Parts: sequence; structure tokens; C-alpha cells
Amino acid sequence: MLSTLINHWDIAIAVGVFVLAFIAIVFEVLNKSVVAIAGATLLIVTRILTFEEAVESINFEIIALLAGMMILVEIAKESGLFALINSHLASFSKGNPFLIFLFFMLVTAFASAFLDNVTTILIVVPITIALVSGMGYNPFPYVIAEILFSNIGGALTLVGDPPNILIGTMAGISFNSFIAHLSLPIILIILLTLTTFYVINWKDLKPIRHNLSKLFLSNLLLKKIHYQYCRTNLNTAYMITVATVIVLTIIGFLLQFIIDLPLAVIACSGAFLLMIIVNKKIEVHNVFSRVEWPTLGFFAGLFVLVRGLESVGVLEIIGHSLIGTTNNFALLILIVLWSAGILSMVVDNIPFVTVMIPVIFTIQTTLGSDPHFSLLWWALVLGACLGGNGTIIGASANVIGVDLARKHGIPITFLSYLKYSLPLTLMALTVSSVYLMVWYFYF
Amino acid sequence: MQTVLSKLFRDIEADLGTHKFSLLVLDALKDALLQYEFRNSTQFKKQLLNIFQLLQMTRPRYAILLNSFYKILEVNDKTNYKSKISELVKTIDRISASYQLEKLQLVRNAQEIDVHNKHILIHDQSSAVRSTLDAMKQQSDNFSVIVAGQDAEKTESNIVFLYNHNIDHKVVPSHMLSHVEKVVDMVFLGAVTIQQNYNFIMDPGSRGIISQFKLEKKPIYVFLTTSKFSLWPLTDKSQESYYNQMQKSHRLQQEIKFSLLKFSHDRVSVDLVDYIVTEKGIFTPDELKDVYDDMFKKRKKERRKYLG
Repeated sequence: MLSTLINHWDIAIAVGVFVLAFIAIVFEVLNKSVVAIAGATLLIVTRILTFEEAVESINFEIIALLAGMMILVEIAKESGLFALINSHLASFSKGNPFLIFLFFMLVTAFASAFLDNVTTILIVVPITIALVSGMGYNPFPYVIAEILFSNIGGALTLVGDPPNILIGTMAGISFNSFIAHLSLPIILIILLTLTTFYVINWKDLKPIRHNLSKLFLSNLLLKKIHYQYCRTNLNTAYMITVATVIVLTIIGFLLQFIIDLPLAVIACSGAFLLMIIVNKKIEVHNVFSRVEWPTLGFFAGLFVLVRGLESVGVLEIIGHSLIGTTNNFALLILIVLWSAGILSMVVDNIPFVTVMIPVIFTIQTTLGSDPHFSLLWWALVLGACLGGNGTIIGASANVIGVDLARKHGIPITFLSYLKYSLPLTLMALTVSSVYLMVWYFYF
Repeated sequence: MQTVLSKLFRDIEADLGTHKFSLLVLDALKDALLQYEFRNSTQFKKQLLNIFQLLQMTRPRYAILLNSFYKILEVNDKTNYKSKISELVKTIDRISASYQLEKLQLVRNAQEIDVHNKHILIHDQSSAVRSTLDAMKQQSDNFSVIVAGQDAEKTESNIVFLYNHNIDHKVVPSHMLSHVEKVVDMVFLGAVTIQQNYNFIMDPGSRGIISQFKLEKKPIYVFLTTSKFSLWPLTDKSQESYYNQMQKSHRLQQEIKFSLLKFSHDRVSVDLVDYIVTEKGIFTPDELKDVYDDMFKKRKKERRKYLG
């Protein structure tokens, strides 16, 4: 009797701490890193977990992978590599809004596949606003599209979005497997989203080859961007070194199955190799200080919170209930996809995915060896990443993109964003559903 | 589009100075022509005139660009539709080359100024002044430059130029120039244009420096090619001041907010300066007024042709 009571008490504490932390994160009551770490500490204080169990629950592979990528991106930013890419991108477009839109969206999607989405948005949004508003156009659809494409592109690779890093490393899915399995739906979604934007904003996006005034203004702006870039006193050798190490790191990810080293080791090798090579160019203290330690702390805290739920058996209960809703595996895939998608629209997709990973492991234990089991992981990836596009608060890149736009005098409200994002997110989830079902029934 | 273009012009001109600015604008027009898909001559002329009208409406108006456009419109009228774009591109190249030649001639004329063992005060980023100093240095003239400090970017740009050309220099903040009044032997300044009332449009701060050194009877030279002359009647609008108003906070006491007004240009009467160095020679203010009047009369006819 006493032990049952103690067991229920444990469940109540673990669930209570998790729910409170979740609410505080969603409504941004406090900084999310502080909330996650405080929640983790509370679980140790209330003896739901021992200190050793809490430390063991932290997946240091993910933390090291994120830290390594952050260092690489930071040095790349300092070297001016991103400014160079932006300047050339603007020149290639020749001031044509049709091409500007196409280039910037494709580059955003591609960059997000390999860089953090927030970093991508921080790089592309300011230059797009400068270019587009300078030409007398409204940058509003461009900014919204860039936010959407950063999340769509981020879904493509293991390092593209934090939920993918979580799923990939914990479920043991390789970097190449992500690209092989997700390329088709992501390319389809990119094409459909591009077409939708072109149709809706054709008046502003159509080519300007018959309008001499607009061509003149665009070229003038491009020249301004170019001379501003040229005046930044960039060091070509430094940029080439940075680009080479980044490319080598990405090749390392692609060849992981041969190298047989964890992704975190590859990322950290790239980061520290670069720091050694360019040590005279960088202020090591600055580079380390710009690593987003609060984000890493947030992840660590979340791992402990989820371990708390796991240790009292809550995840097992959720897993069983999910399986209990249906005997149909195809329907289960759709339930995971759409519940991940819809929840990610309103809550941070990272805590959600952190909870869902052990739940899917529980389902795996119950269902055993269904040949299509991996589809549940892809459903979770697609749902969490694409669902993040649904609302202004669905992903960090959305919040940062909207903030940047506001700072540049382009107000994006919750509803004005939703007008674009909701139909496009539903469309993306529908494409994903069709893809997963075709795979399930025909392959 | 007019507001966007005005702001863009002001920003680029402030960054690069009038000479490089005008070359950059002409280059942008050339690229636009090369990308343009030609349909018919009437529509093309309409679009060309549309740009011309936009240039007429920018605040301030840039004389060098308007002067170039008269030449472009003239070539447009004379050429047939098949060779129109290529002829216009060639014309723009010729105009750009002629501006470079004009500047070279101006620099050549400026060599007459005796700067041996003199201290020259500079303030703006005038490309004509810089080219002159460079040419004088190459002739191994022994002189030194005092930079009147102003906006950090412009001052640093002058320092970089002087350093790169190995010209001896010192920097004195503009509000402390009274302490070097006796040391300065002459003042070299650039101008954006000169208007019908014989006022120069110059970098902000120029008027204060000119007044100060006029009192000290130090020779003041203004460097300006005649292609930059504003050859249109003066209106109230063309005498307006343009400025950016920014909300700022006190550096240490953030709660103290204030409005900061930054003006784009100064207006300075030609009579306040001693000599005007152009590609046609070095003129006194009265001589320059005659040159200006002659050019103004010629332009009047062209204006009637295209603007009615």
C-alpha cells in the first residue's frame, strides 16, 4: 500500500515538474534554459532521479555535435564567408525579383539543411530586406517565405534542425539515411511552396526585363551592396580555409558509414581543426563565448526531465495508449505525423520530440519487427520540423525572423503570418502523409 | 520609387563622393540597358524619359547625372531601334570616360598651385582633392595635410587614403581647428555642385571651415568639374535642407533620450572662396559665374526640347 502510494507520488512529481516546465517554456514565463535546468534539479532534489542518473541521461553526443557546429558557424560568420555568398547571390539575381526570390529561398533551404535554422535566418533576412525594400517592394512575403524555407530545408538532414539531431543520434539513423529518405518529400514541398508564393505574389515577383526604371534601381542597389561588401576588408585566404573545413566536415558527415565515428566527433574535429588553423585570426575567447551555452543547457535539462518521466513509467503508459488507439500501423504513422505536426505548431518541437523518442522506442518494443517501423521516425521528423512552420511561435527561426523584420520596420503579426503559414504547413503535412503512405503500401 | 531613389542616391553619394557615385549610377544604367528586353522604340523612349523624370525629382538633384542624361537622350533620338541599346551603352561608356578625363584635366590644372612646404587643410572625401594630392605627392612636393575630423567613417577614409599614398598628415577635430588656424596655409575642399544662385553644395561642416579660414585670410580652393554644375532654375525645393532625424540615448544614462539631426549638405556662397579649380582652369568667383552663366544658357535650349 505504502509502496503504491510512493509510486503514484513519484509519477505526480515527475509529471507535475514536466508539465510546469512545459507550460513555462511555451508561454516564455522564464528563459527556457533556466526552466529546463531548474526542472531537472527539482527532480534530483525530490529524489525522482539520483544525480548520477541525471548526468547519465544527458546525451553528450548531441551536446557536442551542437557545440561543434556552433563553433564552425561562428568562425564562418566572422570570416565574412556568409557576406560573400550573399553579395554574389544578389549579383547573380541581376536585380530580378523572380530570381531574387528563387535564389534566396533555395539558398535558405539549402543552408538550413547544414546550418542551424536560426543562423540561416540571421544571415539571409537582413540582406533580403535591404535588397527588396531598396527596390521599392514589400519584403513581407520574402521574410515569411525565408522562415518557412529554413524549417523545410532543416528537415532534410540530421544536422539541419535540433529535432533531427535528437532523433538521428538517439535512434541511430545515419546522416545519409536522412537525405536518402527525406529528399523526395522535401523537394516536392519546396516546389509546391515556391509555386504557391509565385502565384499569390506574381505582381511583385514577376520578371522586370521590360521595366527599365526597375532594372535601373535594382542594379543600383546591387552595386551598393557590392561596394559595401568590398569595403569590409575581407581576407580571401581566411575565407577559403573556413569554407574548406566546413566542406570537409560535411563530407565527413556523408562518409560517416565509412569513417565509423559519431557525428559529434566529426563536427568537433572540424571545429577544432579550424580553430587551430585560423588561431591567429580569431579571438578564441570570443568564439567560445558565442557558443549558445543556454541552448546546450536547455537540451541537457530536457534530457533529465524526460528521463524523470521514463523512470516512473509514464512514457511506457503513453506508448501503450498510442498503440491502443489503433491496430492499424498505417494509421499509427499518420497519428505520429499529424500529432507531431499540430503540436509543433504551438509548442517548441524540441521538448515534444524528446518525449516522443522514448515513446516510439516503447512502440518498437511492443510491435517488434514490422519492416516499416522506420516510417515512425520519418513521420516524427517530418511532423516536428514542418509543423514548426505553422505559427509564429512554432520554431526558434520563426521568432527570430519575425523579430528581425520588426526591427527593420516590417511588422508581422500572428495572424498575418498564419495566413501564409497554416495552409502551407497543412499542405506540407499532406504531402508527407501521401509520401509515407505510398512508401508503406507500395515499398 | 522617387523617395527610394532619392535616399539611395544620398546614401551612395555620402559613401563614395560625387565622382564615384555618378560613375556607379551610370554603370547601373548601363547594366539595366543590357538586361532590358527591347520591344519598341516608343515604349523604350517613354521608359528612358521616366528615369530622366525620376532623376529630376530626386532630392537633391544630381547635376552630373542630369547632364549625362541629356547626352543619352540625344543619342537615343538619333539612333535606329536595331542599334539603340548598343549605341546607348557606348555613349554611357564615353560619358564615364569623359568624366575621368575631366578629372585628370582638373588635377593637371591644380598642379599650378604652389604647395611646397605648405600645410593643406582637407575635410571631405572629394575624389578631385585626393587625386590632386596624390599627383602633387608624385611630383615629390613637400607638403603636409591636416584632416579636419568629422564623421568617423569619412575621417578614417581620408586617413586611409593619406596613409596609403604616404602623405604626411595629422587629424584635428573640426571644432578644434581654431588652434591650427595659424599653421594652415590653404584649404582644399570638394563640392557636389554649384546652383543658379552661385551657392556651392558641399559636405556638411564645410561652411563653418570656410567662414573660419576666410577670416584668417587663408586661400580657399574648391575643386569641381563643370559637368557637376546644376544648370536649371533655382526653386524653393532646390534650396531645401535634407536631414536624417534619429532617436538616440545618452551614452551612459540610457533613460535620457534625444533627437539627433544629421544634415546631408551645406550651402556655401561662391564669394566666400578664393579659387575654383575646374578642368577648364582655375577661376576666381567672378570668372566662375561667367562660365556658369554661359553653360546655363546652352542648357536652357536642351531643357525645352525634352521637358517642354
